[in-house]
Amino acid sequence: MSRKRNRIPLLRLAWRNTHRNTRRTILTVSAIAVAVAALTFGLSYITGILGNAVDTYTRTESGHVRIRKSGYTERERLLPVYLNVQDLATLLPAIRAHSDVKEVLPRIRSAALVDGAGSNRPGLLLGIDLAHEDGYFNPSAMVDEGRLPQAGRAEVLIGRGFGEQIGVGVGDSVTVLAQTAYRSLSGLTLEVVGLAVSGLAHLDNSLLVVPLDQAQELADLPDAATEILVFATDVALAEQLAQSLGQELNPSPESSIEVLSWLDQSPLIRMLNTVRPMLGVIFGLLLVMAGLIIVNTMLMTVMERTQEFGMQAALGMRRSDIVALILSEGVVIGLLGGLIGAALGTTVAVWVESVGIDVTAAMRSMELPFQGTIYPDWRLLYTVSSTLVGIVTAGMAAVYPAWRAVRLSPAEALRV
Amino acid sequence: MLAESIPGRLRPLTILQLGWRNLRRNRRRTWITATTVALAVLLVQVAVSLLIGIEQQSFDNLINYQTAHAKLYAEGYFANRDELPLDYTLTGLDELQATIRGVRGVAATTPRLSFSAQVSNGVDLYACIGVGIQVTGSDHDVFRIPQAVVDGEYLKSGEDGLLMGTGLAELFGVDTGDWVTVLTKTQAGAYEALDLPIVGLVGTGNPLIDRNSFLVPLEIAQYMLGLEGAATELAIRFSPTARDDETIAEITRAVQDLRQLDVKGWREMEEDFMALVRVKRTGQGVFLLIFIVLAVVGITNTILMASFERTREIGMMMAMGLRGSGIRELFLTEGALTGLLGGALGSLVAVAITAYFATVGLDLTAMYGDMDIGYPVKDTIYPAVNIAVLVASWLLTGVLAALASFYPAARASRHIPVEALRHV
Amino acid sequence: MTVARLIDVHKTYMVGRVRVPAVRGVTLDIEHGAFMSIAGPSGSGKTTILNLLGALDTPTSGTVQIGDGTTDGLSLKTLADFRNTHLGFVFQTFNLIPVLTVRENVDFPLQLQGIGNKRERNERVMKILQEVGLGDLVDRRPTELSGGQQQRVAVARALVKGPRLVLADEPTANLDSETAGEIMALMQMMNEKHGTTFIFSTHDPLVMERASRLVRLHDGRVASDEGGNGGRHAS
Ligand SMILES: Nc1ncnc2c1ncn2[C@@H]1O[C@H](COP(=O)(O)OP(=O)(O)O)[C@@H](O)[C@H]1O
Ligand SMILES: [Mg+2]
Repeated sequence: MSRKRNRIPLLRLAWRNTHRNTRRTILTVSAIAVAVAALTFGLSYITGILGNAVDTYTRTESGHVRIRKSGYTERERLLPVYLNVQDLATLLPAIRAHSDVKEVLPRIRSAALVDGAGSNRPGLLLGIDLAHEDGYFNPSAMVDEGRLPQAGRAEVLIGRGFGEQIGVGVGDSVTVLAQTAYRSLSGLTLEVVGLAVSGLAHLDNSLLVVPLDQAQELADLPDAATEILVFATDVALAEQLAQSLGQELNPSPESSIEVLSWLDQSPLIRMLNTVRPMLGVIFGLLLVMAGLIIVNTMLMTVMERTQEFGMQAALGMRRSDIVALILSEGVVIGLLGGLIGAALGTTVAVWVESVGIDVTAAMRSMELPFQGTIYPDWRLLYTVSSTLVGIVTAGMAAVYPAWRAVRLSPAEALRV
Repeated sequence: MLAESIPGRLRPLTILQLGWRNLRRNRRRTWITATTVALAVLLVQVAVSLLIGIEQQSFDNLINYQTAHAKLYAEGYFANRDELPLDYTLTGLDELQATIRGVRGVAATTPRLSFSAQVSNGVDLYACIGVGIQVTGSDHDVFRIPQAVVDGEYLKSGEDGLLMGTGLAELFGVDTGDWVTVLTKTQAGAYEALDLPIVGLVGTGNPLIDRNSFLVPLEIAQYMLGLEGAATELAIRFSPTARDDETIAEITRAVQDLRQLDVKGWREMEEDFMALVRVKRTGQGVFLLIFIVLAVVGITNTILMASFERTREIGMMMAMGLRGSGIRELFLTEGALTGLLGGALGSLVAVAITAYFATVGLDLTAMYGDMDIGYPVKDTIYPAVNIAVLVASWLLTGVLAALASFYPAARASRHIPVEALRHV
Repeated sequence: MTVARLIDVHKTYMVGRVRVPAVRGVTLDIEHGAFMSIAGPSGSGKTTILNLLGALDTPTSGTVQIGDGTTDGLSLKTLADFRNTHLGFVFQTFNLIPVLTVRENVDFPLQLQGIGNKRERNERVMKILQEVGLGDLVDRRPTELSGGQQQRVAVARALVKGPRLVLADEPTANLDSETAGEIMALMQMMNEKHGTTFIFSTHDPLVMERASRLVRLHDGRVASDEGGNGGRHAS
């Protein structure tokens, strides 16, 4: 015999029930709202920070994949130009032929002693292919005064801070002294055509940007560079690309070229990667707290209604229906809290994204590839997933109260 | 007779007793609420003790190895200090030191001569910071370099040699006993090169020193730079009981008619670092605040529920003559006790965790690898358990919990007895 | 001597926009030492009158005198202090504080009176608990007592401070008839022994029988007011 089941308008009933005690509901809902808002903002914020660091780091330092001479990494701080990658004329087209490759950029990094108006200071000389660096090292965006140097000409763009230190401006000339690939010293006089502000403290106070050909001449590196930066069509392909490029360029273990994806290059990235699990723990704790608050409230509402449930059971409502009803109440609370929290978190995230958080002062003492302003990176996905997590948390929190509610037999429940 | 003044209140002890027993009335709820509080307290405590641990160690590190408590410069030096200029030097050091040592709160002083130099191992050339230190007599009274010598030994006065930062030695691939060439430019502009043996390695945890600096006896530095009898700075250590700002003010007063001199405290020298510390504090504060807000919501909610459940009891107490303020006190107490319970729970776990790390240390290298994490600390930090702070924050949890109960307690206290008694 | 007096008292409640007249023009004199019952069907206004006499509520119009003063225009705080000093209450549902022991429950009003001396309080508590026959159960919690025992505690709690007037709203409604009789006997004994004025509401004829004066209410008005055969007769 099949009994026809009546459809119980669960959500409507649950919604009504949340109105029994408005104040209590508001408080319970606010617990979930706080957690969801924190989650939405937190995700946007962390993505913003990581995005800033990763973007800046890959563009100015590591590329998605960086190709250098073996042994360079250990001596990186010395900027050894004697460790370099030769034969760009065949190498670059070979790399470019790769399907996932979007851009290939040779660069020369060199330590230089720079003589300006009477005083000299050590600086970082960067020779780049100016025609192709837009969107990567992005020198045109850094020009604060004057213009970019032109390929083939003895011109230089220097960090504004650095220019002030050695006392030169646009139109002046500087003499740079640097090591060649054969460890002798060589000098070059360059005309300052522009002053740069990058927002990166460690660059602004030491940087000299010159056309790649000038750096090649100075370092005696014709058709060579100290590094080749490879950018994939998507940063997610970096690791894969590094692997296949490694096999291609470095078929035998004794080969003298190292190919590293950005992920393997920086302790900074390692540190930032430890941030994610830590945040997971923190958000987990937040949700547990919010969940406990819901458990508490729902236990009380369930206890209050013990007789009511007994009566409903006596009238033939199934236990599963009562459980479903209480779970729905949890979900309704989660839904309310989730929506309010999502609205709040999204508003804050989008607002902060529009104004930014200025941490320039704090960043001055750190040599990190990090722009001085943090912009959270809000995405709809974060709002949606935070809300869902809030709803699920609330639903899960209702499980124990629901179990308590149907634990008693109808007779027992009515006697209470 | 209506004017008779009768307390109409309960004794504090009774309030406590009632609060405590009411907590036990619904134990499950009490434990759940206490757990939310405990989680918040745990997180805040651990985070704060870790951060304070790191900060304190950073400050100590700066003072012990880099800035001392204060430094005295010739006027003009401080603004250009990044360039390590030799144009603003101090002379008449003995007399100057005697003056400073006479200032109340000053424990020791020592002259130092900082200069830019290139170091070479014959293959590579690297620009770094050289520091001439007074080996006999005074540098170790102000700085703690001898304790940071991880290999070889400390400098000996009058003997050629240098102490090299561990990171710098690693970069060059050199060790104690190896020789390196130090290239400098004298104040007059002439280049000077000197071969020196490495007598020891210093590992302070401070990247500026470990990765970029070497130390030589003061006389050698003076000789190389052609600056006999001169120093770029006079570093000053304060006595442990001295107050920084007062002592700096006194020193300023003591030297003001002497010459054109600048006195800078360590905080002023490390403004950038202090800014970093402040930003980190704010960011972490915001995160911790969210937890505190949730704990507050939890307590407010629970006390509100308790007051709903006990409406009739409230009516009865009021009928017997307990004033509204008495009702309020009862619920505030209940909230405070919940907070204290949760606070105790959370603090206990926090102390256990902190104590664990205090004994084994928290190995930052394992977490972050070998990088500049923005704090000049050794790889392993030892968070401190501070009983006074612990007790104070525990009590604060109670106060906060009482504040969180304020709304429901005030609501309960406004009941009209008749209505409350009618409540089912 | 009059302990309390109602003069043409009206009490109207507003339920939403609807006026619910609970008491409509009641005048009553209550003499010292009375053992008085207010009877009437449910909704007739018994509780409202007890609340007015108990300074728990103030009338919409008319005057409530308790002792020498009226409750007119008194603040909630003053009313609370007044109840604290002069009145005792017994409720239908006992309303003991569940987390306190019998002794502590009875001690509660003494504390509220600001009697700081613990020994004195304890003596009075023990004395009254002996009188109501609970000398052996002083350290029990209310939940460990029967309904009758709980109501005895409530009577002790009402009497311990020696009030002028004890108000008991349907004190036996939650008890079986035998226990109800015992509680009535207890209150009657206390009335005779201490001369405390008792006013209780009920709709139980067995209870009314014991009253020295029986006021019947109907629809918020006094329907009859007659002497009874029980209790200590008013002086
Ligand atoms: N606080 C109140 N609000 C609204 N109506 C009330 C209130 N108190 C009592 N009433 C109404 O006043 C009338 C008298 O009630 P009550 O004095 O409690 O009667 P009794 O105690 O005799 O049952 C009833 O109709 C009741 O519904
Ligand atoms: Mg965005």
